[in-house]
Amino acid sequence: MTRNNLLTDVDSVVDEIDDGDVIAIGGFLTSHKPMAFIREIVRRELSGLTVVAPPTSLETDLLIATECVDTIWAPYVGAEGIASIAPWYRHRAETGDITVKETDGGMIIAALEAAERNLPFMPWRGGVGTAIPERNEDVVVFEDPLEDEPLVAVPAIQPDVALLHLARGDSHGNVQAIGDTFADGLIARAASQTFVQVEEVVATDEIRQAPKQTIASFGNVDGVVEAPWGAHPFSCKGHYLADTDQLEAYVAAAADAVAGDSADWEIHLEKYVYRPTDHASYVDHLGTARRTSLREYGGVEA
Amino acid sequence: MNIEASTDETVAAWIADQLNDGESVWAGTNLPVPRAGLMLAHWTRCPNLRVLLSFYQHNFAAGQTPPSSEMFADGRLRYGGEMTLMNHCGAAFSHIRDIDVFFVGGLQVDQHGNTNLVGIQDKDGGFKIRGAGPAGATSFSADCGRYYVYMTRHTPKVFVEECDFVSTVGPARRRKLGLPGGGPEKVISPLGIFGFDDDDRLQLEASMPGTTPEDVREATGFELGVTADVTELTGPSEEQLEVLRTQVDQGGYLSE
Repeated sequence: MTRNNLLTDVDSVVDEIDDGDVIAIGGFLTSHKPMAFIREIVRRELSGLTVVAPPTSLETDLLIATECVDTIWAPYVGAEGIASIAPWYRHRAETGDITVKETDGGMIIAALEAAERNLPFMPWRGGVGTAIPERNEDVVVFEDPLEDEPLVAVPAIQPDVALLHLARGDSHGNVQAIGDTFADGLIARAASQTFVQVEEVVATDEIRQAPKQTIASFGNVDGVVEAPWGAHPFSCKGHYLADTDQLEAYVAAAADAVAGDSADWEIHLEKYVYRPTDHASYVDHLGTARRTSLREYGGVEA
Repeated sequence: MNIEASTDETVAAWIADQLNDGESVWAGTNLPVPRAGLMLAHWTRCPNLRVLLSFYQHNFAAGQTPPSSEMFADGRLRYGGEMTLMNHCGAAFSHIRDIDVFFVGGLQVDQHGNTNLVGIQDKDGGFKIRGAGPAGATSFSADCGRYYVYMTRHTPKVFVEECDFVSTVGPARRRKLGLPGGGPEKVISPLGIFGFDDDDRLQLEASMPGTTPEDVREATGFELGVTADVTELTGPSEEQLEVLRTQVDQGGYLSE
């Protein structure tokens, strides 16, 4: 009699994703993106995916660029000071090649909370009087039956597969963050299946020393993959900062590509997505010096 | 008038002057000037200001600034935080009733104080320019005590008669719908500060140093009213400029 071992690998996780699935991507803006999974999705040329995410960044843009995704449920797609809007997201929304389900951050949370609580919808106020219910037919204005106030009904979204990146986890599916997460636990509870990349796999006794840091566990977590540097070029709290040089290079190459000059873009994709055929070779390719330079505790006092 | 202050420094100082001790103020992502304004207020006049940045209630001691002006997801922002806003997994939206003051950006603002973070429409009903999306502005602006619309550009294409898409709701429409929050208090642009007249239409209340009301009207895409007592902003006080340059904005982002 033994407990289940949920340790798995990138290939097995991406095997669980089918063309046309609704995938949720965890993290927040330029942090905690499950890039080992994302790059493998791109290499496999999955298509017709819907991305559901809180404020999201260039990982979603990469999936749009490589035509893996045709529908976006996200309140923001950009890279903050590096790119006020993600280049491919902007381009394909303007050409009409992707469908944008107009939404706001509060609504995405409400949609996931409805799924988590097994409700058909959640009431929400933000969005009343705006273009969101006009542009997104899934969001419906209704009259509050108690107070006669107009509210919006945000439909439950139960992603087929949720993909997260956290600091550590064990073989039983207990996954922990250093610092805080935006909505990762909620995403895990809302989705049908959840797979989590972690910087390191640790003993369950180590998990037990800090139970408050456990974001999700088996029952909500279906697989744990050890993927050190797996959020790069985005940041992972307690481990490394965002690689702004690489993010800026992405934005510059993508901006040229949507303007018609795709030379740098193809080099960028080759260098960071296609040539490293698995995550281990991606990490090797980064090299020790670059990795060390990105360490969160590499010179800044906590 | 302090002729040495940049427009960003003048705006940060003006924002600092609008905040009251004891209020909860949240500056969201990629808003370095409002963020500077609330830190300036906290360190000069409002020791009990509840300073909310990104994931955390900070209330930093004077001179202790966040590490990055570009990335609100930077993990180092957690250092020195007094409380996380993400303690419930509904992210910061669980704090929606706590927020007294919020900031909203936009691709467009219209004469009725609506803003647009969705995009600019083309002739066929598609997007001429797709925006990044409202992030959390639509939700927080519905409920928060008051908010300031913070525009980084002022042209006739940005200050328009009517937004192509509305993502935050101006005073007249709010009243009609019964939205509970206080709505937009003022609109801030590189050319001036705008309030609302009796018909809930934008009007110029103060122009930036060196800018005349006529300059502002020419840069505006609708017939802009001007208050009888319109003034020119005075810019930061000597103390404010000192605190801005030596403590709030040590990287010189605002004075560039």
